[in-house]
Amino acid sequence: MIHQSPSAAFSLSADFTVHDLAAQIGSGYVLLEAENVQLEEEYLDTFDWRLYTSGRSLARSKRSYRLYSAAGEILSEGRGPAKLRPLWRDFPEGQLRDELKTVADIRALCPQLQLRLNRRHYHLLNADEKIVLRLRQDLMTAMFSGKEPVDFSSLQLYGVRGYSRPFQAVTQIVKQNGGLQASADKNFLAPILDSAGISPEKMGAKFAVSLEPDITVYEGLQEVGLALLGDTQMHLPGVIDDIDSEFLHDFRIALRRTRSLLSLCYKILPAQQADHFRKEFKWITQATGNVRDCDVYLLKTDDFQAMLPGRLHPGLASYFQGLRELRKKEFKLMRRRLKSLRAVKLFKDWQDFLQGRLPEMQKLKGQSLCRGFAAKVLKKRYKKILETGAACGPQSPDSTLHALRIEAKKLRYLLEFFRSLFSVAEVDLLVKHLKRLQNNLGDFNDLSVQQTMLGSYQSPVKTDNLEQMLSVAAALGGLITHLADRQQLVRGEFNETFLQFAGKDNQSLVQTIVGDAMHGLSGEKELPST
Amino acid sequence: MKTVAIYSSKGGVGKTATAVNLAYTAAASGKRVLLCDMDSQGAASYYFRIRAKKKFNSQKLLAGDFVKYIRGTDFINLDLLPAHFSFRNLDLALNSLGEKERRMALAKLLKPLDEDYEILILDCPPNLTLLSENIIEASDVLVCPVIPTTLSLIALEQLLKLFGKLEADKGKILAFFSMVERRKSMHTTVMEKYRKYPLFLKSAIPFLAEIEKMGISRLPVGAVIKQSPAAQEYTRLWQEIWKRSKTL
Repeated sequence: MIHQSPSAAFSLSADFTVHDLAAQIGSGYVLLEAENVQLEEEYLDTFDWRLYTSGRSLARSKRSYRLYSAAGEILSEGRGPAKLRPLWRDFPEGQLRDELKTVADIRALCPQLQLRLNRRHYHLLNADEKIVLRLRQDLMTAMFSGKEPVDFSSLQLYGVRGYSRPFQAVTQIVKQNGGLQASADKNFLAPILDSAGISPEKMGAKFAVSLEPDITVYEGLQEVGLALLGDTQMHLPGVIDDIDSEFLHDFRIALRRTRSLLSLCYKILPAQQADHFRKEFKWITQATGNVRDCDVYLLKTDDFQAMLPGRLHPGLASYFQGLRELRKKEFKLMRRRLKSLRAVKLFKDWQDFLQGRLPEMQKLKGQSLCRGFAAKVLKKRYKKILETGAACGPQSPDSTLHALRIEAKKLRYLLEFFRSLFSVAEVDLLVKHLKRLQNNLGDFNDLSVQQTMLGSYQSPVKTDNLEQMLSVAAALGGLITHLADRQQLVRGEFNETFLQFAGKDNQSLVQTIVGDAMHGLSGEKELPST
Repeated sequence: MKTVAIYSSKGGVGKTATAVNLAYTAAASGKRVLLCDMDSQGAASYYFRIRAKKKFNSQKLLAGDFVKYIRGTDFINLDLLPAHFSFRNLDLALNSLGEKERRMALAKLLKPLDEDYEILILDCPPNLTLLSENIIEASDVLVCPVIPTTLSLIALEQLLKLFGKLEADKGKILAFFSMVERRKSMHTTVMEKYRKYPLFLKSAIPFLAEIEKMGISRLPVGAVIKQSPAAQEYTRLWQEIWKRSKTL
């Protein structure tokens, strides 16, 4: 077994210094300062802290980048881009770029905090002036945008093989002086983030809202609606600054969920308001559609290229160049709309509406229980999926599968909104099964849309050069053929995937979920057989 | 794991200085190194300011119960198995083993260290005994410092003779001229005569005050001044040994 010398990390109280330690170790030992380094580093991570949650941290000082492990050891380092928020592609080829590609993927690396660090290395020497323990004290000041600076002091002990006694003695003294030992697997930035009240784990978490079991429909709408509004507001600045394509993707998901919530509660809301918000949310979703379409294709650059032989690559490159220019134009238009008074007013009015500041909302209080309402809709939506799916034969047009995809999405949103009102484990199991169906339908739809778009969409390539036009057409033709073949494969898998979802097990699962919440609700019907 | 023994039956040829400085250079190049101080005088341990634990002795070494007595030096990647006064009796202890085991005992003992270390350097005592035979069997490379004088060359001849007796591969002997004083005509004459033999490495270590001062600094020469002439000479020597060791 490979020998590991002991090590330990502590967070220290502000008034504790290593010199206090020296005084308590006792005679026979001397503590010497070996090195004193001042460092200023900016830590970058994706918006959802992907590096941090995978046990890594990326720091830069000017254009020198360092990737640290959770324990603070350097994993790789090198020169990198000067860009404020680089993507992995902006780094030169090498280990650092490869690591960032794996973890950050399509997300940009955004400055998250500035760390001013005074790192002091000490050696504990015995009577022979031999190093028997190494110590590293970090005195840090962390600065976050929009937050007060946080001061933090930590001490790392590195034992020397064969000298366990001084390691144990110093560990004891540090603990007696209020040093808190950090667990070995905790990220070295964790205490700083904790002090600043930042929880990276929550940033990447799925949509979740915790509802009390006895709330009314109005209160449920209010809480889910406000949580979704929080999501849209969280992603909007990243969309406007065009940090990476995921901001727009997540923003649009929050908008789609909001629209789904609106249609769910359409009948119980005042008609005028319901119509207004449905229209306005449709408008803002559409305003973001063209840019997202461009993003979807641009993100597939490498995939599309891999589908074609090398001789068709120049044509494809021209196509993507045109698409990038089109996106630029569409982005300007989208940004203008997102920053318009109409958009600002929409979010403000929606917030007021949800918070019940409008007199019409007051009347809704005291309506039926949200749990019963959600159970009824859940059953209805599940039944609709079974009916729509059963009508999808091998010869059915693509539109029937498309309709089924929409129904599946509605059910998914419903389960996500009201998950906390039912047995969470059972809802999660149904979501897991639903996801499998959604993946099949999603793949089918993507392939269908991609072929239509490549075949009929006005080409973004602006050229009079006949040769270039032909090379683009050849590349697109090749892609369409490839995509059509794949679509056939996906379609072939549909029947089995649907039958699995529509089977008795899931029907019982739905019954179990809605269970007693349905009790006393009129108009209940049995689920159709598949 | 490569086992490199620093060996000569003659004393005072610079074995310990070589072992200490080569171990330091190899560790500084990023390899995980263990220096085993086999000489009961414990000079290598002294240079690294390391004392053996009281419970350690030659019996424990030969029983294989020695890993817990390995200690970290002041340098990253470099550990040391300190010498113990009882090592002076290693020969007697080896003699007490069965005939079949006695010559391979050391090789067998060192085998488990290959998980922890890439390079093992043995600082050997000056003798021609059963321990020497063990060292020959256990090592992949046997580095022999030779002062360019007659007596030192006789020690090398004796070593070659022992290899012949043991039917060991003489190719693993790498000799180099140590403590060279170029102002002495005997040194230059001897070196000119012998350096053409492939047995001799091209690198040579001159007689330098900074190597002698290791007894005062208790540090490898490279740890005192990284780019000192002596440190550079040992780096060259190590690079040549490492390169040649790969062909063995």
